[in-house]
Amino acid sequence: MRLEGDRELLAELIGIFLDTAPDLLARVREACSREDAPGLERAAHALKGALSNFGATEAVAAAFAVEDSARQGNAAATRPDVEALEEHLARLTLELRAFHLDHQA
Amino acid sequence: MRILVAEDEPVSRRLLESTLRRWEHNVEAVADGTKALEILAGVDPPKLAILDWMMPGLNGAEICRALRKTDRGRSLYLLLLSSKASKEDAIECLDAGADDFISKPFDPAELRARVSVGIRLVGLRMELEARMKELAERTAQLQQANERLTLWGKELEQRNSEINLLGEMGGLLQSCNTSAEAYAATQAFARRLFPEDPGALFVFGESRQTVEAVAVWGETPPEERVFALDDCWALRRGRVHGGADIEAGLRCRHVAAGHAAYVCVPMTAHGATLGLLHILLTASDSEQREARQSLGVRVGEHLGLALAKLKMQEALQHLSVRDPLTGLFNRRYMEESLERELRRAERLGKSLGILMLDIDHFKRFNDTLGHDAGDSLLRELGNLLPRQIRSSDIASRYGGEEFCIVLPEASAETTRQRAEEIREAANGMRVQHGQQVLDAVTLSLGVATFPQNGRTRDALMKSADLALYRAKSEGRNRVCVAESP
Repeated sequence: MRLEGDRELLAELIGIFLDTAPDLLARVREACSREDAPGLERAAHALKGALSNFGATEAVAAAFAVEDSARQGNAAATRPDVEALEEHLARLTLELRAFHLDHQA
Repeated sequence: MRILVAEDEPVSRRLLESTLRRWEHNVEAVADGTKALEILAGVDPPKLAILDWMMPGLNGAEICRALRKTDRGRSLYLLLLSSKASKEDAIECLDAGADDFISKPFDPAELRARVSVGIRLVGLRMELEARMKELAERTAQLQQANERLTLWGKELEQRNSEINLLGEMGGLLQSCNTSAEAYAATQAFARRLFPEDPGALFVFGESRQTVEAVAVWGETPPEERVFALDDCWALRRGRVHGGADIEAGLRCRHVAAGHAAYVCVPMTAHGATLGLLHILLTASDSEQREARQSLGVRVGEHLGLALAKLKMQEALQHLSVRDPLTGLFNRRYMEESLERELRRAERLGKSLGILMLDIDHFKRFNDTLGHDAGDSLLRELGNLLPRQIRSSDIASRYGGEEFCIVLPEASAETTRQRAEEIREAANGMRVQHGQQVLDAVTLSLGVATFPQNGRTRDALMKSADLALYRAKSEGRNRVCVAESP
């Protein structure tokens, strides 16, 4: 882990992620359904940035796929990518929440 | 080190912030580009900034571009943070004006290395700025010193030319033979020594109670040309009067009220005051006025000595050409003058008359009334003769009771008439000696004229002498004209 064993900071970062990720995902969904390609790119980019801090390689790849498609201007075509991203995010969220609860206990 | 972090994504922002704090940096974190630019372009910003590439508001590249347009912004160290890691992105970052960039998610070791490069660069830039500032200050000081030096150079040049002029004036004054020449020389040199300051040279009149201007210069020279000794502080106190004395309210009465600054330099030599050098100081700069004043004092000293020397020379000259008892010219001077006047008459083809005269029975007069009475009589005749002749005529005591008068350009007839007038005037002369009035005296006179009675001094004087002898032998109290030789 890149945090040099600082579990407290890790817990804090997970807390921030858990607080902000649902909102970011909501922005991704919304932009997708509105077919707002630039908005989708920005939201996916932000989510990717947050995910990258946890070494969540698959989730990062999924977020990048959405960002990349959106950049090519095809918001509608990204729907499957968005769904994949949601899945990865849901799984990661569960893991992180478990860690978070564990750490707080 | 103060570091600004601008990152919109909260997890990354927090991670950056904690990582940098752990290295004991003073971190300020903001979530959007507009806020970041506000801080970096504001007063005393953090010198190092880590900016996210993609942010709401302004993005990292836009912040770089905006900052690099200003002088202060150019000295900041800007590190861009990007999740795009291609070569093109790196080039775009640097093009926008970033100093360096780092890819997201960052590797702490890399971040640390890049931040320390930044810190070193900021340090160097600050040192450079300080050196540049110092350099600018030194350059300004050097420039000032240079200006002062130039000014000193000019002043030196000025002093030098003044010294040369003073020297020239001294030389010219040395070769002056009369006071009048010296006054003319003074006027000419004062014009050059004081081109902007009008003034005048005053000397004592006969009475020694007033001084009068004998040289003036300048466009508006001093108005008062004759004034009493009491009207000038310098003359009253026998010392230079100017500068502080005048500021203290001690103004000389001979200076018109309009002149704010002036100097009066009394000219003294061997303890005696000869006159006054007076200069109106017109410079607006007080240092320049002081320089002019001290120049005035030096010129005054020069003039005092030169004029004293001339006065002495004139007195000596007077002694050497005058007969002390009668005040008339002496025989030697008369003979020299006659020689000169004869050559002139010869050259110009003019006539010249001389007359020899003798007091009748002077020996008897002396024997009965005493030598003192004889001297009184001679003195009185010394007063009478110059009044009977023109100023160009030369009256002299030839010896004893015998007198000789040279009348340049006078004809035989004019000379005879003049002799007749003198004889009559002498008859009417009454000489007071002590309590008594002396008996009237008579004169015998002999007249000779150039060229008919002689062409040389000796011949002419011999003719006049013979005529005088004839006047004596024909019964005295008469005029005889020489017969052709």
